[in-house]
Amino acid sequence: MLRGRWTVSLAAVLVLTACGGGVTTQQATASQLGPLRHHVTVTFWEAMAGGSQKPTLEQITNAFNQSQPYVTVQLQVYPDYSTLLQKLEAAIAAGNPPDMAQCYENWASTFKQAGVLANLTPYIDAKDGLSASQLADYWPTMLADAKLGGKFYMFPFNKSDSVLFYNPVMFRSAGISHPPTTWQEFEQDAQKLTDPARDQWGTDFSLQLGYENLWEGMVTEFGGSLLNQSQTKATFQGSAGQQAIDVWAQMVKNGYAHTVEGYQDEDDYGSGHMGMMVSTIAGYSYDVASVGGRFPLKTAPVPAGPKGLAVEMFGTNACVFNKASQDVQHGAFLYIKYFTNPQNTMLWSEKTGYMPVRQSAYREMEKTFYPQNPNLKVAVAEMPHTMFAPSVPSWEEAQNDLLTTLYGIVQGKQPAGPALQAAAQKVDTLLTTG
Amino acid sequence: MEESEGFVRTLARRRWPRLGGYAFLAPALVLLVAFLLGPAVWVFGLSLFNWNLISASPVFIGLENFRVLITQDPLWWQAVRQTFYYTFVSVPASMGLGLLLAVLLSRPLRGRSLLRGAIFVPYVTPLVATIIVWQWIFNADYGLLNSLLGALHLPRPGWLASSTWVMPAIIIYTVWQQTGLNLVVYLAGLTNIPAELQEAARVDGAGAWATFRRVTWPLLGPTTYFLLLVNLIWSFKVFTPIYVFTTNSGGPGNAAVTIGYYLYEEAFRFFHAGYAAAISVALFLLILLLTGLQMRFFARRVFYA
Amino acid sequence: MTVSRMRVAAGLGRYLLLALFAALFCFPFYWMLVVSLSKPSDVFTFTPHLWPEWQFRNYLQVWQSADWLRLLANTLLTTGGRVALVLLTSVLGGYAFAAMRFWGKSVVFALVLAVYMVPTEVTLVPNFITLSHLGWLDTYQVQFVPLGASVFGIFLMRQYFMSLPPDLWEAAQLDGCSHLRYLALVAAPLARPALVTVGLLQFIEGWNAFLWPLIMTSTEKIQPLQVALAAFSFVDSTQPVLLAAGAFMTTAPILIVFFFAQRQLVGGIATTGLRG
Repeated sequence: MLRGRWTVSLAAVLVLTACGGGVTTQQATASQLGPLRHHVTVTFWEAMAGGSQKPTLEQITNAFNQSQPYVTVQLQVYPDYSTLLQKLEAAIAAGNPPDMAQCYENWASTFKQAGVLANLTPYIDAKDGLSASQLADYWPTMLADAKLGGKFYMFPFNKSDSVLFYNPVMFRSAGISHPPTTWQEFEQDAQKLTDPARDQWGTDFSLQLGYENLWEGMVTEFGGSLLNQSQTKATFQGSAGQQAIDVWAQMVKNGYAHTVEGYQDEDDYGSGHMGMMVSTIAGYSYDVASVGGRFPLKTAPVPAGPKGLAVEMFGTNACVFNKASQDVQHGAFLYIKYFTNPQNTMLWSEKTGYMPVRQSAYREMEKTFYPQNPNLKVAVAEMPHTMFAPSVPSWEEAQNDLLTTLYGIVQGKQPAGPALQAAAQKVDTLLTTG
Repeated sequence: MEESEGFVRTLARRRWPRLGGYAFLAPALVLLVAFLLGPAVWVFGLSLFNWNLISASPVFIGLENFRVLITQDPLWWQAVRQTFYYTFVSVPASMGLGLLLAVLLSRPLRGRSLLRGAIFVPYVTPLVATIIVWQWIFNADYGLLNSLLGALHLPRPGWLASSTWVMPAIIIYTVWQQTGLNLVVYLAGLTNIPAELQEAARVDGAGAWATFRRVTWPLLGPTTYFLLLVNLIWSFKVFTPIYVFTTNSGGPGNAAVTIGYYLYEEAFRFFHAGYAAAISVALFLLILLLTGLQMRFFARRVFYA
Repeated sequence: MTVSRMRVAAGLGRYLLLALFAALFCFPFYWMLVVSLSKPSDVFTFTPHLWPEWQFRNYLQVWQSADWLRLLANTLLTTGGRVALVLLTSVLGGYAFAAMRFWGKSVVFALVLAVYMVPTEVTLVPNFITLSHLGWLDTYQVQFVPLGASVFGIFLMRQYFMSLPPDLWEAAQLDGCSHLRYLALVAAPLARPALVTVGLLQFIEGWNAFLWPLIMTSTEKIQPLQVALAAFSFVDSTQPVLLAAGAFMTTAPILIVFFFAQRQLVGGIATTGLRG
């Protein structure tokens, strides 16, 4: 069914492509790159290591390798983003980076500062690149995010945001009628869900690096911001930041939230001990596996703060390194283009939970996929409310300090005010020394 | 003429056997100098530079790295404190337990080598694999340890998810892992003590404890000294248990960051080569102090034996 | 009568105490097996079950999740290279120090002693820079060549060669034997126990090596088991059953080696206090 209908719209896209391409050719100067006609091998370092992410990425990559005679992509998988970054930096330090990699915005800033990133614009504009209409099909926020200093040093690849996962069975037995829409409700529901006699509690606060993103979104929801406009000074230590983390400190103190290591929140949720968690949609396939059919998994939008809803968009872009020859860079972009074509971004999204990066794919999924899988639509529906983490090179280190600080507050080791103040000072130093 | 020819011949005859040793030593020397001695000298030089391996070329800054390390880096001092905590709890505990078990095992016993092997085997199995199972034992909600504590109506600590309990958890693991070494070395030390000495003490009417204190313990002095240094040096450098137990995070609130882990993080996560070199120098000096002590003892025991 | 009865009681107490400790120390290995054979959903309960459920398919699943044979081959290759290289450098170096007279020997001896004081951890940053310039990062050779000389090995061999009777060398010299021939045909074969000790210790260190390959390698094609296992534990931290199965698979070979070579291993470690 789905497939049949898809062929029609794909044909429409193809027609568009042809026209679009023609327009670009007329506008382009003599410097426009012709289509790639040499065989190249592209090494791609990534962190899609588990769940359905690994097999799906392999599937799409194999299909790409077989679909055309010029580019062969070789995947090198790392267990997590943190390890991927370490290995990328080690390779860059050794002067021997891979040809392309998944990149967070702040990593790309670091790499660009080191002068190792390739500007993708020539390949986007190439004869076998993207037409204007194809480019316009990507979500504008994602395209904006992929630029550094106005140029495409990255390209949208796998994008996600957080949603609220909840256990409707536990909700019902706790007498909760609907998932919480505000943090106030969230706190009340966490209390209702907590029952030590039955080994049940409301939610988890995880110490996994990346969990500080949740608070980063909450800062906006409470009316604050992380950094000033020019990204030179911390502003998260204000009252919004304090209120946001105090929500969690209070729940941990009362026993409604447990602090856990790593991804244990997924186990706690899946085994029916913990009622709800705010977690990335990219973990959807893991969560489905850990629930294992014990109860119907449900998602809802992240709770809103006094100033409305805001979630941080994460997941990575793809970036290409300039040590690779022009042909290899070109080949890498052709792969990115293939991975994000409407058909593949849809496949990727349906299998893993990541958001489709193209609007036409989203429209297609609205027809049959989302009605059948409403859980996955929640993440995309939040898109108007997404924000991005700062893209300054030192943000990785800053996040490290922030997570430690937030943990200290949540554990009641120090009050939010002074703790965030101290963290802000550290981040300020990082921002100035780079 | 003749004289000088003779001189040349003597020289040649002399020189060949006099330098031949180097041909034999060359493979070892080249490797040791290139990968241990050379870098150990170079690391002092590196520590005087500000050098981000990714984005910048080295800039000479004198002792600035050390000034920052000592006066402006709370995480460094936290790492030092936590390394000492780890060391001065785990080392006495595993040595004490090793000694106790060695004494129990020192007299002939059926199945002795089996018992010794059972206690020793954690020491030779891969750290990563055994840490994985201990991680699960320490799991705050589903772990065996907390089930046991819960059944005994004792409090259930958060272990690896708690900044207070993460270090004790790693220490418990270390004691489990290292006791075998102490047991085996103590056992060797005990067999070297002439049985007549202990018999003599017993004949004089000394009890088991008195015999141990007045005869066995003093005679085990060199063994204890040797073990103390081996254990201390191992502990000061500890890295792998921290890395694997905390999944490369340094623990909740950095509560498990040790000097060895901090060095790794600065060097290979943030690529601050100069600063990491300064940390290396500090660790080196600490260990040098201990190894110097160990050498005085070890030279007598093994090298000039 | 009473004295002997007390002795029996004390002996029994000692026995029980030892058995208790032995069981305690071995328990995590048993637990590894139990968890690895459990039904994946059964481990997330607050009251653990203590017996295996014989879910062998967990092993099948783990086996299919990575190229374990490749990882095993990587480990064997780099460990083997390390053992061979260390034996070679130790035998040659140990022999030079024990039996040869050469100019500057005491200086070189002091130099090697000085190297003994250098912990590998301290040299990581400079070594990383050198090896990256050599283009050795993420290769097989980086995992054993830089670790191919051991001060311990050299001194252990030296000690052994010094204990050989001097008449042996004199007799060999009369037969026109060079140092190298004498070493290869007479001295090294006689030093077999010391060679076994050095080799075994290096084997264990190589098999268990972690920090060095973690830093110096970056792709699965090259990496040893332990590094891959740690990565596996980061990815699948939510699946303790599979993790335990992976852990058991990589531990079993060492348990087997230990079973057959316990005496030499314990002896070797007792005299040298294995570094690492």
